[in-house]
Amino acid sequence: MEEYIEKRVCARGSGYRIGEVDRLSNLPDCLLFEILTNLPTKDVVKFSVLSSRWRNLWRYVPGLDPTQEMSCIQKFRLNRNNDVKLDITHFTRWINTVVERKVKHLHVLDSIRGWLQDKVRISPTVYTCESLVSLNLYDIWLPNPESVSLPFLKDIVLDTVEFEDDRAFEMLISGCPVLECLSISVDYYSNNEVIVCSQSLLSFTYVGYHFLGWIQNQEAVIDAPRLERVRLSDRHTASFIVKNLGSLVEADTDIVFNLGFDKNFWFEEKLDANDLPKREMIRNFLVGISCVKDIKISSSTLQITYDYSRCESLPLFINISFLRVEFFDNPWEILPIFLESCPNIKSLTLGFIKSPREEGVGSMVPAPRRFLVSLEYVKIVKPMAAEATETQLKLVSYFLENSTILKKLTLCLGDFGDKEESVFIKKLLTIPRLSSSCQVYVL
Amino acid sequence: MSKSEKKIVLKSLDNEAFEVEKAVALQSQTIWVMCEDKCVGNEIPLENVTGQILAKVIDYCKKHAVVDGDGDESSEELKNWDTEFTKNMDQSTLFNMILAANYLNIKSLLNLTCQAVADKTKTIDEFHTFLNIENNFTPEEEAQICQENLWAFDD
Repeated sequence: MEEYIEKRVCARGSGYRIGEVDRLSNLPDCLLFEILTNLPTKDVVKFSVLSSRWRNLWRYVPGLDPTQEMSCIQKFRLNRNNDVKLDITHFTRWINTVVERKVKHLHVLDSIRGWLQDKVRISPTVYTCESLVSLNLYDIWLPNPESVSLPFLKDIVLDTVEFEDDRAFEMLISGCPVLECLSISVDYYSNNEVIVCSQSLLSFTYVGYHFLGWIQNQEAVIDAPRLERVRLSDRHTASFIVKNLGSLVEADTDIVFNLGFDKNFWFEEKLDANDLPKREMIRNFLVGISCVKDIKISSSTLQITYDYSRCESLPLFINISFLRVEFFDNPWEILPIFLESCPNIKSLTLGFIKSPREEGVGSMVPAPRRFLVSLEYVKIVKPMAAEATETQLKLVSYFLENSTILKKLTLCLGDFGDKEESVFIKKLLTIPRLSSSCQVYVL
Repeated sequence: MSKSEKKIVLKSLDNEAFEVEKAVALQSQTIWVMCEDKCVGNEIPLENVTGQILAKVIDYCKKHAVVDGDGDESSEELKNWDTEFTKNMDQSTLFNMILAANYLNIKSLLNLTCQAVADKTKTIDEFHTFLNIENNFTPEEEAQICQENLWAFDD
């Protein structure tokens, strides 16, 4: 009390401010709130940058009305997992609330894998959330919409999402006039057809079911005239129907068109030369993506392309300048015929996850050898195992002997011993090089 | 009612005594409760309020008591009076007025003084200066907070 008087006296003597300047901010919270309720909500929130005391103060000011001021919620992320077992009965209410608040980015993730009745169901109001810019759903159930109007939605990620039926997905996509990126992953068997018709789509990723299926008519349709990047990874879909992919720049394909069951149930991609409808579908697919510039292809897909080329000739991929192939256990000899369909290829990268099967080689008809007239760079990044030395030398010889303007061949060696390595390199150096400017790098 | 009953003495912390009409003083809920409870005599000690501030509070109460009682001034005029009343108060006086209004529990005075602070601090810089808050954030932290509440900073 004495101190208080002293201050007052002092203040009287020398003007008010001295010694008291910060006392207003020392008011108890309840009185500060009285002041703050007189200010516009936005201004009060801005005071969060004043100091650490003020950072969260605004949240407790009674009577502020953020909903009136807050024109939209930027991002709403709802994640149910084993740590946070949210009751799904609340989900609809929460989602409806953020939709009313004009949410821009809606992410609803359910990491608890449940039966259908326990699945989180997206409320249909989302289909008409006109503020939505990105939608990210994981393990969610989507009902059939009455109508879809998502005029600003650019990004959709649907991971393990289940639709009431095909109509729901098709309507969703057709109701997004500015959709640019679409990513779908399925990790269970689903009969839903994937039909993607979009005038605006730039990027499409489809990761489908990775086991072969008995049902032979599963179909995916992609009709997207502005599509630049596509990634397809699926074993189960029997037909990929592509239309209007004239803008395609990048493709990443690991698909087998549900080929692979032979009579002994041996899983091996095999195209039956007499299966004309299948051949036609593959022809249309290859022609459909033939304008691509940069392509990554799995050895399974390459194998099917090779099988197809034994029946009829491959289309020309005149724009391809970069090719990357990931070999699993297919022989490398399936590669040349595809390479010869890429007359402008500049750069090739190969990876070997397993050593190529030796036994496959003998049965293969040698490809008609044509020179590789555009290839400048070859890189073998994931090497074959040491025991496949001969195969590896054959592969390197193929490039060195047939590439007219090759500049650089880079080879990452596997687990070679010192002795094996020097033997290998000696052999490597004896391989004649067609291109006079070719350099070989061993890493 | 005798004259002494109609009057009441308010004694400030620095022992200044103010004799006022009971009707004036009773606008303070705190004084009203004290009188109701008969826990004080005719002289009420107000240990949290200085004479200088108490004088202003009494001015305010007199003005409002008259108006409320007689209705001879329009609410418009009263509003103007209120504006004038707080217009030239510096932050220290306002601070003490707020504390006094809170302690004496005079809701309308509390509203008036809080509004006055708000009016004097329209922008964040004014608020900063007026309250003389020491900013203990780094520019990075400040940017992060802006980001957290982007909707408020977006104009």
